Amino acid sequence: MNYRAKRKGKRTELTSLIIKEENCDYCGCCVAVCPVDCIELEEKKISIDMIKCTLCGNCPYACPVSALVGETA
Amino acid sequence: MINDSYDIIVVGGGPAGTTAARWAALGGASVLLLEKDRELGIPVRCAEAVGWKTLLKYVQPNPQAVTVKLNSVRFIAPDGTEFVFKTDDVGCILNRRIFDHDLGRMAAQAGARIITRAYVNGLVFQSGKIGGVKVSLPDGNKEIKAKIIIAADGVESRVGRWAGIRTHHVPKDLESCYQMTLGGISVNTDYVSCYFGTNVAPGGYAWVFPKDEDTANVGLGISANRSEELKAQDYLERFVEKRFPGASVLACVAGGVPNTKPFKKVHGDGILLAGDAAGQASPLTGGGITNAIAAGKLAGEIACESLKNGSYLEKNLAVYTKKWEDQWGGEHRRLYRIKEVVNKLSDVTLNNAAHILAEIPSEQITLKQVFRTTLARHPKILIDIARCFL
Repeated sequence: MNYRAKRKGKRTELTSLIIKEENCDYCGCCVAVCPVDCIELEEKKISIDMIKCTLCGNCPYACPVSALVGETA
Repeated sequence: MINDSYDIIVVGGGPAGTTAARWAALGGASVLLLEKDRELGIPVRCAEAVGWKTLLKYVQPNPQAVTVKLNSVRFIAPDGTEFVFKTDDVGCILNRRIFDHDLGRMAAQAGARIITRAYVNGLVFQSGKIGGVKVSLPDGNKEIKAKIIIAADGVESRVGRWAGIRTHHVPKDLESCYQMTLGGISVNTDYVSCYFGTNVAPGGYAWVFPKDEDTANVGLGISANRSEELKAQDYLERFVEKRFPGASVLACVAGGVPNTKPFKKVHGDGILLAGDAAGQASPLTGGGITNAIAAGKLAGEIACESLKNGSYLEKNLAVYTKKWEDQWGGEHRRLYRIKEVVNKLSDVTLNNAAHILAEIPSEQITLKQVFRTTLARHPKILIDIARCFL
C-alpha cells in the first residue's frame, strides 16, 4: 500500500490499478484528480479506460475508502 | 417528454445547479436540469453545516430543512486543549435532503424542467462550438441541443473538461473525506466541534456537527496527498472508536471537497461552471453550500442576459468569471493562503497556539488580543507561523 518512494517524495510508478468496487461509494474523488479524464462514474458504476490511463497514481491517493488500489512492482 | 432543444441545460442537481436553473428560468429562458442520481440531494455527501446569515442573503430555506442552530465553534488541538470561539454569524445544520428538494421545487416553480436518472456522458459540438449534451436516460441515449450549458456537476466535473477548461485537481488541493452519521450518542447542540492534528486528520480536520441531542454528523477530511498509508475511512474509524465508542452508525458516505485556488476561468464558449465544479467551495473550511448558491444565481442570471443579447461566446460570458472574481476572488485567495499555512503547522505549534487561545476568555478573542498575548508569552510561535509563509 505504499505508493510513494520514501526519498524526495517521488512516487514509485504503478504497474497496475485495481478497482475494488465493493468498497466504492461513487463519490467522485478519483475523477476529480484524474489528469486524463479516463474514469467513468455513473450512479452505481465505475470503470477506468486503461488505454487512456497513465498510471499516474493520483486516484489511489484521493480515494477515501481504498476502492482504487495501485500496485507497484 | 423531453424536448430536443432548450436555451439552457444545467448539468447537476445540487445547490448550484438548482439555483442556476431557477434564476435562468425566472429570466425567461427554457431550462432543462439533468441529474444523474435518482433523487436530488441523495446521497447526502455533505456535513450539512452552513452560515445562517450568509445563506439568508441568497435563499429563504424551508424551516423543515433547518435542524439545529448553533452559536459557537469548539476547536480541539492535538493534545486535547479546547477553546470555544463565538461567531457573530449563527450557524445551522441543514437537512440536505429537504433543503435540496426545496431548491429543486423552487426551480421547477420558476419554470425549469428537472429530470433525474439522466447521466450526461459527453458534449455535442457543432462546427467547433458547444451545441448540446449527450445524455444517457433509462430508455436510451439522446442528444439534446442547448445554447448554453451550465456545468454544476460537482467536484468530479467532467463537463468543464470536455469544453477544454482545466478543472481537475492536484491531490494536494483535494480533501478526501469520509463521514458517518452516528446515533445513540450524546452531543451538545450549541456548538460544532473541530478536531485537529496529524493523527486525527492530516492536512484537514475532523468535525462533529450535531443534528440532534443524540445524533451527529461525524466526519473528517484529509489532504489527498497525505493518504499513502491510511485512507480517510481508516482515520475516521479510529476517531469514532476513540471518541464515540459503541455508537450506532446510521449512514456512511465518502466525498471529495475542492480546496483550490480560484480557477483562471470558469467559462468557455457556451458554457459556465458553478459550485464545486468550479472549485468555489471555501478552501479553508470546505464549506460550499452558500458559495454554490451564490455562484449558481450569478451563472443563471448571466446565462439569461447573454441569451437576450443573442451572443454567448467565450468573450460574452467572460463577465461571469470577472464578476465572481470581483465579489469572492480576493476572499477565496486569502482563505487558500491561510489553509496552506494551517496545513504546514506542526502539532506542537497547534498545541501551543491552543494554549494561548484557551487563556483568553472567549468574548475577548480578537486578532489584536491574540497577537498581544502570543507576543508576551510565546513569541516563538510567531516565528513558527512566519516560517510557514516562506
